[in-house]
Amino acid sequence: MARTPVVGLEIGTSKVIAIVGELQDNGQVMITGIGEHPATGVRKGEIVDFENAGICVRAALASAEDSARVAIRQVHLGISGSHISSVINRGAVPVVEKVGEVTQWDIEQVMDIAQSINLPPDRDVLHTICQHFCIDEQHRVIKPEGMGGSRLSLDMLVIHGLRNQIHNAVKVVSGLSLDVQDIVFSGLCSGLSVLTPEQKQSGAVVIDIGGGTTDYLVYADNVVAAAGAIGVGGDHITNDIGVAFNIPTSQAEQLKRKSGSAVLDVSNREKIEIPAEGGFPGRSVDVRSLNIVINARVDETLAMLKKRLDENGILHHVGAGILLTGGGAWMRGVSELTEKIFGLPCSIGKPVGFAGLAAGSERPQYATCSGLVQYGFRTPDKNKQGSLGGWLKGLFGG
Amino acid sequence: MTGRVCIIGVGGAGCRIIDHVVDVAGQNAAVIAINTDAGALSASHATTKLQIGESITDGLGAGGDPGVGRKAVEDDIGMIRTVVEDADIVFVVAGLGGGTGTGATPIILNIAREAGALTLCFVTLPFRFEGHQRTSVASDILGSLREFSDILVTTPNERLCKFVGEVRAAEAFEKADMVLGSGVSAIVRMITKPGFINLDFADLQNTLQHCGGVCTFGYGYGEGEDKAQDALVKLFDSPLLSSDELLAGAQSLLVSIVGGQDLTLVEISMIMDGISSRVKKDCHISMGTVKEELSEGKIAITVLVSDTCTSFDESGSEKKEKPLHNAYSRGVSGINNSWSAKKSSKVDNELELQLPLFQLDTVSKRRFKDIAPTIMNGEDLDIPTFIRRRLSI
Repeated sequence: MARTPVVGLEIGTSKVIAIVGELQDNGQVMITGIGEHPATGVRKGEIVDFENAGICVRAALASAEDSARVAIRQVHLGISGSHISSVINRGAVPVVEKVGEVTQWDIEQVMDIAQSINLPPDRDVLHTICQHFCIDEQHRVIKPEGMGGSRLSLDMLVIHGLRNQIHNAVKVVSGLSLDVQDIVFSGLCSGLSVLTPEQKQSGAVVIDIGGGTTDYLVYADNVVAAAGAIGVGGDHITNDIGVAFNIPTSQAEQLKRKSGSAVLDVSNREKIEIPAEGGFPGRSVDVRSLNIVINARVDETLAMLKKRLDENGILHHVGAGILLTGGGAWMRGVSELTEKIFGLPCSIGKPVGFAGLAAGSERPQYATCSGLVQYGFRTPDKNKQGSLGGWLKGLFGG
Repeated sequence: MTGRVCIIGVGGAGCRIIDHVVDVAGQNAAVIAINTDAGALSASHATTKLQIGESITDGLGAGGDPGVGRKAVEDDIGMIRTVVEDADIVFVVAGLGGGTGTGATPIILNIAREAGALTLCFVTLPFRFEGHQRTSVASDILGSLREFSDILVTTPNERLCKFVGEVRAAEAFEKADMVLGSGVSAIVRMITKPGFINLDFADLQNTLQHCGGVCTFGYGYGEGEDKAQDALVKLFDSPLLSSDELLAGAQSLLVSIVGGQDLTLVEISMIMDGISSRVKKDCHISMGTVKEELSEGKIAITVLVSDTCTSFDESGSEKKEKPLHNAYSRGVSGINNSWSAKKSSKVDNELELQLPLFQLDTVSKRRFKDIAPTIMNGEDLDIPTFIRRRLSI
């Protein structure tokens, strides 16, 4: 059965990535094309300049079209930014029918209630993800249908973001005469693409360190149990370096990539010469000082994240450790520092379960976008989506 | 601060301003005049004079073209390197809007930064009557000054008008120079002269970073029997300080007291009590005293006030100034010295009338400065962590 290819588009702070994927007969997603272009007009995951962002998106899509040899008409759009956060909303209904046995109708009722949440007027819901059903005092019920009880409740994770920010990203795409099929939180996509079913089952944290934001997603007991973003990313590290040594941003970025590490090595006395460029006369930088600057930033961001996750006690449900992804995962020492801060094993998360263009698509910076493609195939078209769709969506954490 | 301090005046205005600083700098700081105009340079009182860009301008000045100023300093970059080589703190003083000051200042700051010095940049912005052209030249360059200075203080000359009243243009320039000179002197003195309680660059940076917007300084001094009381009264009576809001809203305050050998603890405590009673309970006050040999029988108070309720760093909007009152006996600072020499009896009043508003800016946000800050738990995460954690690098 030939299905239309799905295109995942991520307008990131440092680059725009577009990935085209097709669903193979064996159910695996095959990546048929990748296009990317350095982004301008995006800061901390949010669009600040429509015109430039549009140009970059067009360039990335054009090169994806070239490599996949398809014409792109519609995309699944990934969205990020510190405005994205999540909340658990609980819905409950009394079970009345058939002497207190839970029916499909009750389930639909409780899902409707749990999904309806009062958000501030400037916010839109991006995803609603079912956690666990609860019948009377019995917690963590997975399939309540047919079970006896008098009261059915359901916890729903609601991921939401600022309407204006979401609208801005959509506007960039629709400005290029393309349809946005679905809007998906980037962190969710990263999770979809890097986690194996076993990891989802035993619980894992995915931290996607991007240019402008650090997105996170926690799987516990096979469902997405927390998600959100912190508006700090690799750009902040670069900016810190630029300020610390008073060097241009381009030089700071290069220094970060070539010599930076998130862990301190006090014995390192190496110095790095930064060549003159433009009006900048060049100078030398202590590697140790450089790493103090980087360590402070990464340590702060991860500690902030840990504190946030500690608040809802979710880390107790994480058995498979932490996966780092996004461009920031390349930073030397970052997984070491993560292990130290969280006290959990940490590894680099790469997209798994994809066929085609393997060498390219296995890099951590493609995690979000390939996850978007996967998301696109897993969820039915929004227009046709009925209650079954919502149910599947909830179950898969999509 | 035991480090070597280097005070550089760039261009016509910069050189004139540092003339007022030479006396106070004394042994503690090198005062260097840098200009393209050989004639103006020869009139400077600075201890070192560097003529730049001779091959380009023939010693005739930059003709109001910042491009020429920039080229001139690039031609003689080696000379600049030599003077800032061992400096720990470099003050660069310039008037923006013209050729040499505007074009050369960013380069000089950059060289100083590169040589490992902390840089403090004082600039004046043109009077409105100087025309739109000069104003826009000046504001264009502010961005790069921000990049290269640890602390940037800008004083719109226009603000001074309010305090100097109706004066002729020539006189207005002269007064602007003097006021800025006094500001530079006050800070130089604070960090270079020995005292019972020392203030150093870190204190200064701390206070200034907390306020990050517009600031004012003023001073007055007292002498005779009740010199402390006298100084304090003048401090509070000055036009800017007399507004209660300013002191009452201040988040941090830097107080420097200059006195002679005869300065007593009772006097210090009286001054500090007087100031503390006017500010919020949680206001962060740093204080220092400076001992000046010539100040026997006199006291000068210098106050820098920050108003962080409007600080851009903490709350995303502009901040207010701190009045700085500098009441000292006769010849303490460069300003006072030159003023007392030139205008003897008028000094007190004029000093108090001329309380400039300073624009302060910290430089740490760079590419994030024009977008909504990421605030978490009251901290602006766009400001580098190492700065917020006060790590030394």
